Amino acid sequence: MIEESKKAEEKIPYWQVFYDDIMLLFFLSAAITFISFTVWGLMEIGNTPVMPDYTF
Amino acid sequence: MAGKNGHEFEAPGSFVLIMTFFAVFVLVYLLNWKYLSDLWPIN
Amino acid sequence: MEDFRVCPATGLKVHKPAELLIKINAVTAIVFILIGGLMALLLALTKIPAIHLLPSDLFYRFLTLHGIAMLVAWIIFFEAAILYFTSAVLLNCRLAAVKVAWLAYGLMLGGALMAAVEILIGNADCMFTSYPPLQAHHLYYLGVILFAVGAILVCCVFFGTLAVAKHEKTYEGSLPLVTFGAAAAAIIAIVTLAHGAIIFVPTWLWALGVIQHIDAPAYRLIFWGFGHSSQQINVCAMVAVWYLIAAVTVGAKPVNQRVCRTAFVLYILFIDIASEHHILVDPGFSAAHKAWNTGYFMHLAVLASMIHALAVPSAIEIALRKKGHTQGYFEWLKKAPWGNPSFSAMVWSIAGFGFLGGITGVTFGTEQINIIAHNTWRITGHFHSTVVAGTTMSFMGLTYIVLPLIFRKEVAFPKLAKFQPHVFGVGIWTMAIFMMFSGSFGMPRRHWDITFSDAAFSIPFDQTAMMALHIFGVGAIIAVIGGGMFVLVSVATLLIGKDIK
Repeated sequence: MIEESKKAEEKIPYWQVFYDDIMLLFFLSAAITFISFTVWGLMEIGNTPVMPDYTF
Repeated sequence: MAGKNGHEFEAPGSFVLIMTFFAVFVLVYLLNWKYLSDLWPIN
Repeated sequence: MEDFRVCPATGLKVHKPAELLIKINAVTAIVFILIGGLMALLLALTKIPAIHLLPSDLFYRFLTLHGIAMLVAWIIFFEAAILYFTSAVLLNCRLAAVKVAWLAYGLMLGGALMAAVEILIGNADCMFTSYPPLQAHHLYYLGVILFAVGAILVCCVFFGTLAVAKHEKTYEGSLPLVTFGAAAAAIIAIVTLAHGAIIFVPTWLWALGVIQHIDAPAYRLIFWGFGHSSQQINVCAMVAVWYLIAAVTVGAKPVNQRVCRTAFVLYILFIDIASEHHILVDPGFSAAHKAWNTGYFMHLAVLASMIHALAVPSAIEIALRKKGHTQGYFEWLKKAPWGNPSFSAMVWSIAGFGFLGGITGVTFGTEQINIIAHNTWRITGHFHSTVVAGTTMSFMGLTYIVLPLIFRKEVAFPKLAKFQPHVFGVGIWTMAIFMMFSGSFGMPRRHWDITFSDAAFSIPFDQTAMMALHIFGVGAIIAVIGGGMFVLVSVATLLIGKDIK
C-alpha cells in the first residue's frame, strides 16, 4: 500500500512534464514565431512582383 | 455569498472587478467598430 | 559558503556576487529612467501647442533618445536584475558564470552609451525604429547590437542558474511560479533578440557601406519581431513581478498554480506573433498573414492576460479575506495596505495594463480597426499604458521591495515614497488617456509640428483635440514629477538610507 501511494505521488502529470521542460518550450516558441510570422512574412515579400519600369 | 453546493465564493470582489473589466472591454471594442463604420459607411 | 549571506527577513540564502549584479543593474536602470524622463519632459513641453519648446531637429533627436533610454535601457537593465533575483535569490543557489554576467553588463552599458552618444551628437536622428532609408551612423547600430548581445548573455546566465539550482537540488518539483514567469520572459527575450540580430547586423553593414540595399518591408517585418516582442518580455516580467509583490506585501498565493503556469506557457508560445500589429497597413503582406497572426493564435496570448487578470486580484482578495477583511464585496480592497508603495504601485500597474493598455491593444490590433488608429497618437497612448502605466509602475513597486531586501537600506523619505505611485499613476493615466483621445481625432504620432503650421495647406484639428493636447501636457508633467519622486527616493535611499542590520 505504501509503495503504491508513493508511486502515485511520484507520477508527474504530463502537463507538468511539458511545462517543466524549458528547452522544449523555448524551441516551440521560436518555431511558432519564426514560421508563423517571420518566414511566412519574408516569403510574401519575396513573392511580391517588382514594379515594372515606367517611362513617363 | 454561498454557492449552490454551500462552498463560499472565495473572491467575489475580484469577480465583480473582472466583470467590470469585461464590460469596459466590450464597450470600447464596440465604440471602435461604430467609429469605423461612421468613417466608412457601407452603401 | 563565504559567498553567501542569509537574509534575516526572508531566510533566503543570497549569493553575494549575484546580489552585487542585481544592485548594479538596478542602479544603472534608474540612471537611464532619469535620462529618459528628462527627455520625456522636453518632448511633452514640445507637444503642448502653447509651449512648443524644442526646435524640430532636437525634438526628433530627443525622441530617439527617449525611446532607447526607456524602452531598451531602463527596462532591460531592470529585467536583468529581475532575472538574477528570481533565479539565484529565489532558488537559493549561486549565480552561474558570474564573469559572463559582468561581461553582459559591460556590453549592455557600453552599447547603450554608444547608441546614446551617437544620438546626442546628431548621428542617429532616425528614432527608435530606425526605418530604412533613414540611416544612422554605423556606431549607433553597433551600440544596439552590443546591447542585444549583452542581454542574450543575461538570459544565458539565467538559464545556467536554473541548471545549477536543479543540479544542486536547491528546489523541489517545478520552478516557483515567479521564477517560471521570469523563465517565460527569458525565452521570449532570446527569440526577440534573435530577430534583433537578424536585422541589425545587415543594417549595420549597410551603414558601413558593405551592403548596398536594405529592403524596407523586410526590415519592418523583422524589426518588429524585435521591437514589439521586446515589449512582450516586459509583459511576462511584469506579471511575474505582480505575483512576487502580491506574495511579499499581503502574503497572496496563486489560486491555481496549474492555470497560472498555463497562462505563462500561452505567452511563451503565442505572444511574439503579436508583432504583426505594426505591419497591418503594410501593402506587402497578405490578409491571411495579417489575420492569422493577429487573430487565432494571438488571442491565446490575450487569454493568458485574462487569466492573470483574474488570478492576481483573486489571490490578493483571498489573502486579505483570510486576514479578516470579509465584509461585503470590497472591504478587503478598502483595508488593503495602500500606504505600502510597493502594493499601491502593483495595483496601479494591474489596472493600467488591463483597462488602458490591454483593452486598447486588443482593439487596435484588430485589422479593420487598426486602419483608423495606425500612426495616430492613439498608438502612442496605448503603449505608454502598457509599458509605463503597466511595466514601469510594477518595476517601481518591486524597487521598494528590493531596496530593503537586497540593498539592505530603509527606504528614505517614506512619506514621499507612499505618495509616489499615486502621483505617477494619476499623471501617466491622464497622459495616456488624452494621447489616445487626441489620436482618435487623427492627431499623428512622431510629429514635431502637430498643428501643421508650416504646411502648404491648412489641416485644422477639432478644438476638442487641441484641448486634449493641453490636458495631456498636464498629465505628462505630473507623471514626470512622480518619476522624479521615484528617482529621488531610490537615490536618497542608496546614499543616505539607514542600513538594515
